[in-house]
Amino acid sequence: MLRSNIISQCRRLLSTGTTKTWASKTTAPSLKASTHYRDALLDGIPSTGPPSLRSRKYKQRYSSPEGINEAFDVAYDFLKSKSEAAYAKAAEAKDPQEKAQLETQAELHNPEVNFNFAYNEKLENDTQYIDYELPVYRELKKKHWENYGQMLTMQRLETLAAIPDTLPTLEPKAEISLKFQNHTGVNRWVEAGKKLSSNATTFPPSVKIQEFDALDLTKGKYTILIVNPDVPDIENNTYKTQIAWGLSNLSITYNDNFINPAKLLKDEGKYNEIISYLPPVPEKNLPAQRFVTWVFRQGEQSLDIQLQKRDFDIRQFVEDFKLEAIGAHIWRSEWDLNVREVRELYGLPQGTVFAKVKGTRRLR
Amino acid sequence: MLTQTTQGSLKQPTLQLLRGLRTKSKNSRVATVSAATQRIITGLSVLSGRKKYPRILKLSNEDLIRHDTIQAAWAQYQRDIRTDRQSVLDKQYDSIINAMEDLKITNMELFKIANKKEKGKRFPLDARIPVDFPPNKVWHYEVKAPAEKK
Amino acid sequence: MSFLSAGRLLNASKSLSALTLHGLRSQTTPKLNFQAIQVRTATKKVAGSRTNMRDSAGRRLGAKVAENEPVKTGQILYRQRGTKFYPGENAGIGKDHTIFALEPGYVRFYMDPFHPERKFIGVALAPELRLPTPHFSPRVRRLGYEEILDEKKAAFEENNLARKHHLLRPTIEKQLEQRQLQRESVLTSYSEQIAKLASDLNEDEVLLAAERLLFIKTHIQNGTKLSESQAIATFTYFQNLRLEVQRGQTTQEEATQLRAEYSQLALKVDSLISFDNQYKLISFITEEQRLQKVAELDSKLKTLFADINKKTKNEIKSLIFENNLINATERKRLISKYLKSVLPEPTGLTSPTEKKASISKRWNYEKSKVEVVARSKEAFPFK
Repeated sequence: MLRSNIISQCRRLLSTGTTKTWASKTTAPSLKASTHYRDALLDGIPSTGPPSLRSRKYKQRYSSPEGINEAFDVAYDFLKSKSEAAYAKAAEAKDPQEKAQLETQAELHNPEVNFNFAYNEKLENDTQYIDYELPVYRELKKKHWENYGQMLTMQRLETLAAIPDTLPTLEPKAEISLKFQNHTGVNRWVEAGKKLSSNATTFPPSVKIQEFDALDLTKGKYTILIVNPDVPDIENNTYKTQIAWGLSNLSITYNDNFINPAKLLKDEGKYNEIISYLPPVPEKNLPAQRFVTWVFRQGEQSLDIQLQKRDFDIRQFVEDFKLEAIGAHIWRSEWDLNVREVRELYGLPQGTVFAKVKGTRRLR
Repeated sequence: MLTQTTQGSLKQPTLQLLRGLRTKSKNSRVATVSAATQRIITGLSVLSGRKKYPRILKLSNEDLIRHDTIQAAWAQYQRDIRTDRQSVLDKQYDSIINAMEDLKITNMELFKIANKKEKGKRFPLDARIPVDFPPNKVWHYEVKAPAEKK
Repeated sequence: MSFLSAGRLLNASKSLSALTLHGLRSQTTPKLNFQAIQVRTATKKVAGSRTNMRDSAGRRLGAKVAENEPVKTGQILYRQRGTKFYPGENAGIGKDHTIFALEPGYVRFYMDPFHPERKFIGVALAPELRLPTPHFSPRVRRLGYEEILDEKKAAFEENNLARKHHLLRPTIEKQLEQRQLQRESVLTSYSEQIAKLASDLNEDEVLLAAERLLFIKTHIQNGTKLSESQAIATFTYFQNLRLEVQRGQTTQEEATQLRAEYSQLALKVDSLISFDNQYKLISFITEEQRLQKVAELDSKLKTLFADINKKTKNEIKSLIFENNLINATERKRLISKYLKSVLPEPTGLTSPTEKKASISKRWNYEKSKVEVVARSKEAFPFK
């Protein structure tokens, strides 16, 4: 064993790069790990230490577990043979879903793919390392999302009663992330359910729709509706739902799926604005208003409707246009000192100041 | 309640009836342990949590992925073995069913005998399991139990 | 007299019966090796039982309202020990499990298929509503607030902030003012720089360009990509134009024209001006060109580093710290590469017996022992 170790060490020192190659059938760059880590990942940690460690002190101190190199070589060859078999099956498969599934299976245990996915930015992905056009990365991201992001969003939607106040329920299929790219310069993803200042929400949000299923995205279009179910209806002593923003006929790809100013400017004329953006202008002394962003697959149909009125029945709308809800996001807005300025900017009348009703005025 | 006391007679222990004397811990959920065990428990409670467990292996990013790959390969290998074994069992089961169906058609009497429930009848434990390579020497007659020390 | 004698007689008969009993027991029980002493306790219940006379008065538990009864907010619906009933819709539960109304409405005692073991008391907001509300239908909600119609009162209430916000207000306002001043100073400096870099712009255009560049600067400072920041700037300008039309300050035609003009300007500014690493304006440079310049700097530093001494050290320092194109990571890399106080190992390794050698001890992880390392002057280029 010692001798073989020495031989492999010598080979490692002499060779300019690893000889291992996975059975990949495409030359997508994201199926290879970056050259900086690749040799260490596939042939074992060199004597200079793991490249992923920055400090020389820790590099020197580091030692791999005993026998990992030999075990890895065997495991790699075994998994590679499995991958080859899966690729051979995929070549014969006719159903795109089945094909995607087989291709996922073929690459799922590729250490380079796993390395790329584990140690690179997953939400704002660089296609050099994580390319969601490849079904394997979609599968990995889906697992990653289901472990935390999906649960968090669903919990927020349910505890804040966005479900069933806006739509009855949601079976999440895509990851929806939200960010406000506007005059504030703040560059941060909004956690579902967060209370945002009226300044931050002055201009429309940017929505990222990450699809995971194997779909024909060249044909399918998307709709985004932002609704506010907490508009006070003083006359009836209740609340009503209004639409804050609506976009339809949006087309996305697996990587280019961020509906932000850059995309909206680029695709101008290709999408339809159902209604212009009305920012949150919560009223003084009322509880925080919820703004629920719903994302729908609208299929191949074109949705060219334009609304004039803000009062909105989202359930009726979804039923009328046969929209399929795939994901949602929520933020909340409370009255603050800046609301007055937002109202002035949008030419809205002055806000109403409310006081809690004392006594027993019933709903009906 | 009867309690042994040394009062009354020095030699003879006496029983005295006492009412309301508590002999058990009030909290019945607290298990009483021996002094030795208690000593170990106290000793462990003094140690910090980290020292009670072996240290977590610190793997570099590359080694962690390599480790995961090995795990995945091993799981796949085990799965293959399981599926192979299951497929053989399935085939055997199917062929039994088919044979019985044939038997049912050809001879109902034989079918009934073959499927008769034999309660209490088991495969003999001392029967030799048929193997591909039976030993040449069937029984080691000369082996004797070692003499017991007195 | 008769009473006394009767009592004595009773005592005597009692002791007799005790004796006979004792005698009987000694006959039947097996012989024990200890002596049992019978402690005689009072048999007459003088003070009564331990539990006698200790019952409290009734706690008046139970339903305080009937089904369909109109209730006010906070009204108690049910008093109980433990949760015989759970609070349903528009009902709350107290620390002693008292169920009370959270909204004015009509009381409902009901079961919920989601909790088949539980009974609920809820408050329906309207007489015709049944509870529980169907699982997938929206909640029925009561506003419970009314408009303050008195203008004075409304104005007072609007300025009535929470203590925390009220105390924070002056500091926030001061910060905003300072930010505004800073913004203006940057704007004037940008305007001057733009006038030099793009000389064919008129005054308004220069101001607009300065505003755009300041906008882009705040975004790229926060890590947004340059192209995205540019798009955000344009998009926000268009949004503002749209709002101006909405407010009636600009006509639609004017807005379309302004939009086209701004697009032109944006294109021009973005193709003429770039930012350096201090966010000062420089003439346009593509990322490839910048990387090429960084590579040139690297090679230059390499040649300087080949024969390093105090003089070249200063030169390297000025080259690294005065360069306005390298970013923070590149600078860090160059510093760690060319401004080392100690050179990497093979350089200057000597024997410990050498004169003037710097000696240090360190742990060798491979050999698991302390080793003595001696470095000559060569290893410390700047000493």
